[in-house]
Amino acid sequence: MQKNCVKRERVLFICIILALSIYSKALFGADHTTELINSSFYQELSISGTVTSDAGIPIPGVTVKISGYSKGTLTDQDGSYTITVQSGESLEYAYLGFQSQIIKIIDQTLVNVQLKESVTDLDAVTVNAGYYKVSERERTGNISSITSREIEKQPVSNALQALQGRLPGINITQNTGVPGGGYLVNIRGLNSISSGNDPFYIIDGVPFISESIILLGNEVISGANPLSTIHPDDIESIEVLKDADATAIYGSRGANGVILITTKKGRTDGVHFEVRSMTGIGNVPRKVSLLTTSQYIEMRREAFENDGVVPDGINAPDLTLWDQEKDIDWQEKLLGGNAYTHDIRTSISGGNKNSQFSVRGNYYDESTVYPGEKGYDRWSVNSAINHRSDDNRFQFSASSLFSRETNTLPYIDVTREALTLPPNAPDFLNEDGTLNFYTDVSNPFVYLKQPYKSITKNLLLNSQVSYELLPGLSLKTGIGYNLLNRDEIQSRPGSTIDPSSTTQPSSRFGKVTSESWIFEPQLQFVKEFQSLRLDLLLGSTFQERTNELQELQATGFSNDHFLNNPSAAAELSISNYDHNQYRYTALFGRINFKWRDRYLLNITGRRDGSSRFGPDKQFANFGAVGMAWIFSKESFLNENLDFISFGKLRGSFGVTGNDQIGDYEYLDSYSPTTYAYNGISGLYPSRLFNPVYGWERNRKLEVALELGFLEDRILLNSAYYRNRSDNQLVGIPLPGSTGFSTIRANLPAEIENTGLEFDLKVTLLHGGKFYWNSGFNISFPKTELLKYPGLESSSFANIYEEGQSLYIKRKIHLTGVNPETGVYDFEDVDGDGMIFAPNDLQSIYELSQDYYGGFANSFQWGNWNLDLLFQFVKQTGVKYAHYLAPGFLYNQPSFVLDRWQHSGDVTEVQRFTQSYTDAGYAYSTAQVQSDYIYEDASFIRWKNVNLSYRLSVKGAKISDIRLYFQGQNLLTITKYKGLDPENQGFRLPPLRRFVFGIEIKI
Amino acid sequence: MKNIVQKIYFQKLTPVVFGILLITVGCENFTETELPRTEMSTESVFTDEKSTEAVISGIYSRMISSLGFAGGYFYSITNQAGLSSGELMSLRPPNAFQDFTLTSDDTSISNYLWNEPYSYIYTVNNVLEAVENDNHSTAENRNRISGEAHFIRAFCYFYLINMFGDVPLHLTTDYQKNSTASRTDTKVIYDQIIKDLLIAVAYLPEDYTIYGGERIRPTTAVAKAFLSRVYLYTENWNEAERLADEVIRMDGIYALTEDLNQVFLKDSKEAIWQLKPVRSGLNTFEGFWFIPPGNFAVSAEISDELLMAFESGDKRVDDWINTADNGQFSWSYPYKYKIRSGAIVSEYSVVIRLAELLLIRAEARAQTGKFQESLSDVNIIRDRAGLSALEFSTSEALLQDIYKERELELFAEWGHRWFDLKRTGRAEEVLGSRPNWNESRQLYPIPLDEITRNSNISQNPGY
Repeated sequence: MQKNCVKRERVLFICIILALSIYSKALFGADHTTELINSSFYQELSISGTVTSDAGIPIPGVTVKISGYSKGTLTDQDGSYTITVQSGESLEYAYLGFQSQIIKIIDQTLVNVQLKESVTDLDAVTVNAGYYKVSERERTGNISSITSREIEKQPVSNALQALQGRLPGINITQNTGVPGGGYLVNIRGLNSISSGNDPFYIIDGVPFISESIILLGNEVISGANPLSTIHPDDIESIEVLKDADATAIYGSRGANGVILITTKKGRTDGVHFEVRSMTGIGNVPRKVSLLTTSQYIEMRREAFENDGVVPDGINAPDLTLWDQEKDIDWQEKLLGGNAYTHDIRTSISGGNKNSQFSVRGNYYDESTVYPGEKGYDRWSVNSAINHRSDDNRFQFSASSLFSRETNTLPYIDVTREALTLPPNAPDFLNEDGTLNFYTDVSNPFVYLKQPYKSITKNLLLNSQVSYELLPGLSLKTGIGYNLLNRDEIQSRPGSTIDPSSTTQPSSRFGKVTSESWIFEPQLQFVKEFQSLRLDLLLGSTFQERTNELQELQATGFSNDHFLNNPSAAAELSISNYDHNQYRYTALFGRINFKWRDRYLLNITGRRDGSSRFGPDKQFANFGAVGMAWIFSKESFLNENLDFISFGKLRGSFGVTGNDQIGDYEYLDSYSPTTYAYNGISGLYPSRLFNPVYGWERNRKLEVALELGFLEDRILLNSAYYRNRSDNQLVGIPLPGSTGFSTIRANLPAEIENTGLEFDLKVTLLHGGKFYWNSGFNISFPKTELLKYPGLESSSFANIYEEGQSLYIKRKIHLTGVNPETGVYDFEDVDGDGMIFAPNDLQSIYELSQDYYGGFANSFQWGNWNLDLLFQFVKQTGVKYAHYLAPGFLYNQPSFVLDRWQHSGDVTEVQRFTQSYTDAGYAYSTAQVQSDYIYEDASFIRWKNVNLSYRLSVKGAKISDIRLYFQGQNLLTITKYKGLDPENQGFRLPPLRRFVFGIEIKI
Repeated sequence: MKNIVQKIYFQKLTPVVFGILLITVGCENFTETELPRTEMSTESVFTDEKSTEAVISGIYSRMISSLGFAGGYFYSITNQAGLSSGELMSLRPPNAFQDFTLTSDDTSISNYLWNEPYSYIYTVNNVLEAVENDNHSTAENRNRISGEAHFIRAFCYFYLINMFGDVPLHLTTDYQKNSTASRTDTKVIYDQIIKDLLIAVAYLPEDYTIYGGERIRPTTAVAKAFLSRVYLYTENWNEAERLADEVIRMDGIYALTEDLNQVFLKDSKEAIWQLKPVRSGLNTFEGFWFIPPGNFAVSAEISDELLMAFESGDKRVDDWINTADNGQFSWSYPYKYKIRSGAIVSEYSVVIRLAELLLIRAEARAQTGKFQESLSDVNIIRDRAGLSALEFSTSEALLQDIYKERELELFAEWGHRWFDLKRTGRAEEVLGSRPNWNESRQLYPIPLDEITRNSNISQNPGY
């Protein structure tokens, strides 16, 4: 251990010396550069002037900075500015929507600049790359982004939903339509067999927890993560980092891509007050066509007839005891409600060129489509201040965000009940609201009356201080803190318990606290030498995260009134406790060269240490090289092909890692048993002795071509990527006879994700009264298990296959309904006369997307704005198939009516049955083991509409009023038979929403 | 001039660069975290006698609190094998154990009847490996721990082979070896079971004193009783008789309770090994499962075949069987354990008891021609049940009487009926008319996961 430490220190030391030597060489190495510094060092010039548009109107907020330096100043209300430069340096003027200008300073003191309005300005658009910012034109990596302008067009409560269909290479699936529910986010496919495939989330420089912190609510909002606590309106931009060049600086945490969220900051042009209020309505957009009572009864009777069983009060209460006429639409009754939303956003922001502030307050609430008083609300306060000194050497920013989310939901998502309850089920509710209990059928109102309540609090603090020690050299320090706290209560009131049972009223209390801090000192050096610009970054990271969770079981309350009070319970026990700590440290650096404004080289690297690995495996090195050639700056192109306004060829290669596994997994350990035996508390083995395992490695390669035509009115970005991950860090499934079900290890398997991504942006009409912008993106992902030495003899032998996707499912092939017997037939591959795994598992389905993308259009006509977004996904998914065969005491989709009835019938659906005879057994084989359950789940969705009208207000106080109408998930075209092809199965689908709102700016 | 610039750079830079350097280099140990609060490393567990002891009591705690295997609840051998044998009928049909429609992906098999005993086997293998390297505890403690570990291993393998036939035999914790092992012949496993039990007989404590007089952990007698059952199953009649005899003769310690209502009480004289309930508010799971809550028909009833098998006047019908009625129908249920739930624990779950040993001795004696002695053993059991003594007619009739007595005496306990039908070759004869029955149903399917994760494991025929 000691020896290793010394070795590590030596490596580190060498790294730093290397970086320093580059630095000092840059400073003192070449003679002419030194002269440059000498000659200009004391010749400082104070430049002032005004920046106007080509129409002569002053533009406030224009960035004026010295070329090669990251810092600068901003123009004030009148468009005027003052800045100190040294002669020989150049000044850059940049403002969003205008073409940038560079003016070389020789001895001028007054510089007035006219900026030309641009159609699309790649220079003015800077994207956040995490530790640094780059302009869209000069970035060497693959970074896609959306800004608040796109986010605010969509009536969403979670910003992740606003990303759907907008960006190439990112597949986002909404798990459930329940408020506060979660999303599955995947950047460029699956890189890991079974450790995490979640991207790394960072909010204002602070790593944010993306894992679910739900203890009790998994029956209703499984998979929800704390990102739901961030109000979309607090977000200024979301950047998605995809390739090696962009992600390698995040080292071991960057393998699955990085999502950077930047919150809104203050403004430089006086005080502004904004208020926006929206109210909306949401509902389940589609219903499944189910059997009516008469069809249902026909099915049941036929099932009994087929089985040769006489229905009686015990096996068929629905045929003998229940009403035969009643026809209840359970989808209408349980999911047919409207989810009302209210969203109020207020902000005050302002400042001058030195200091800016912003305070934002948001409130959002949403009811559910379920019957009863359930719902979600969230409020948040977000404030930010920024300050920079007059000489721009000192910069400081701090922001804080606090949000509180309350979610009251039923115990489970009753979507399954809505789809499976017999249409003639007896009354579940009495007139007085009390419940009826039945043993044959589950009463959905029991779940609806068993409340689940969660309160999540999220505090996010961060501050950045930077000081320019010497020209071009700044010391920067970022400190961040995040506290997440979730309290949950799940109750079983006495009124929901069958009086004849002895079950006691009970409550469960869950508490999760997650705390993390990060400290990142950095040193940045920027220097420009004639045609070469050098940008150096050296920094280190210290990060710690602790989680604590506790679950309390309270039973036996004298009255339902006390269910939220654990001390009123007759019996209390702690049923779950966990505590873990994660620590992470790193040294990282970046060297960026720009030569003649057209050749860019970006080298990033990181040495990482994570506490999730055994003592000898904690540290590893990651890095990447990115290159770009802006060939449109070459004269041969300018002269011959002048319709090409922008052309860039870029590529990157690098290595990132993945440590998304649990803490302490390298320890082999024993944990306390739940119960003591005869007063002696017991221990049980909780983990196998584990040989050393290390980082999962992901090598990323990307080649991309970025083209702009006709003054950048057409922009086309095309990227090809190839990511190969090996050293797979997986829980290898073990045969249960080993005493465990999995063991963590590095697997010698290699996975390849390749893909093509296209992103086209076209300004179709620009100028005059009418604007029309259009965007289209499409991604073609592909995942393949390249090699797996010894797959045949491994525990994955029957799960994966070399040369096949990682998303494959191997199943028995269902050949159809046997026309003679009316029962499903399966393919007996090995011809042994029996259908059983694994030999007959020869039908392979790939549950993944063939391609996906979006098509966005934005129109502006005078004061009117219209935005439309369509999303499309081509994929194979899990079929809408009920768990029990048609004929059991459950309702079924109406397509089952096309069933086998007589010998010789050729049908899709087998004969009805109400028991586990051959047909019931065959259905369960079909459901559990066969390929019957997969089908095409592709869809095209009219995702979003945003129509707004800007009122011209002739008054001094109010500067702007906007009225708008927004819609989400308006229409879905699909062949999928269930509720929704996106989240598939028996969960509440994404809701369709309509929202009306007004925005007032002062 | 040049020098001044350099100086300025160096003066300002040096402390900053060194500061960063120091922080970074000095914190290479930053990634060392505090030890988890919720677990203990295996190494430290086995260097401490108390925690080694806790590992053993952990096994009993897991067994008795389990919903499966030894727990006595729905997923346990008692219920599931009872349903397969036809002595119990599910009140909530369909039931795959009763209908012989089990599939290899059924989690009630993989979780509760396969993984669970193997998890105990891993634990005791770990204990045995640690005991071998143990140089800090006394020989006495070491031997006792070793004896218990060997006993538990034998106990688990006994049930595994009787449910699944050939199973992989793991005697080490080496998961790499274990996860590619093939199935071992039951004969070889029986040899290992006998070997383990002989060690247990040698090492286990003589009496229950160190357990506070409660019969809740194994002693020499428990190992002998169990060994006698193993010999019976392997048809080593002489050894079966000898060992049963040794235990039965431990007069004063074990005796049949006169009152049938006292057999399953915690201080029952008849009990040889009991598991002590650990879940709060509960006595045994057997009571909780079989005794209906209110008038709900949720668990299992005693089949008509079994009810009919009792002679009139059999006290076991009155004392061990109860009836319930939910308004639509009535049913009989096992009432050996009489407490459904309750904070005061007065019943322990019996794993092995004296009555079984008497019947083992009777059977072993009948097989070796000691008919009169055999008959007298059977008649002890019959006498307690209030039935008249049997007379000898033929050896075949005697055997049938013993089988029947086992059916009546040991019903709803540990799947005795299911295993008896199989080992005596009567399964086809008794169960042949049941739907879906065929010869291959005598073995449960090997869990699918076991086969997909270890290609050297084959499935039982017919699944």
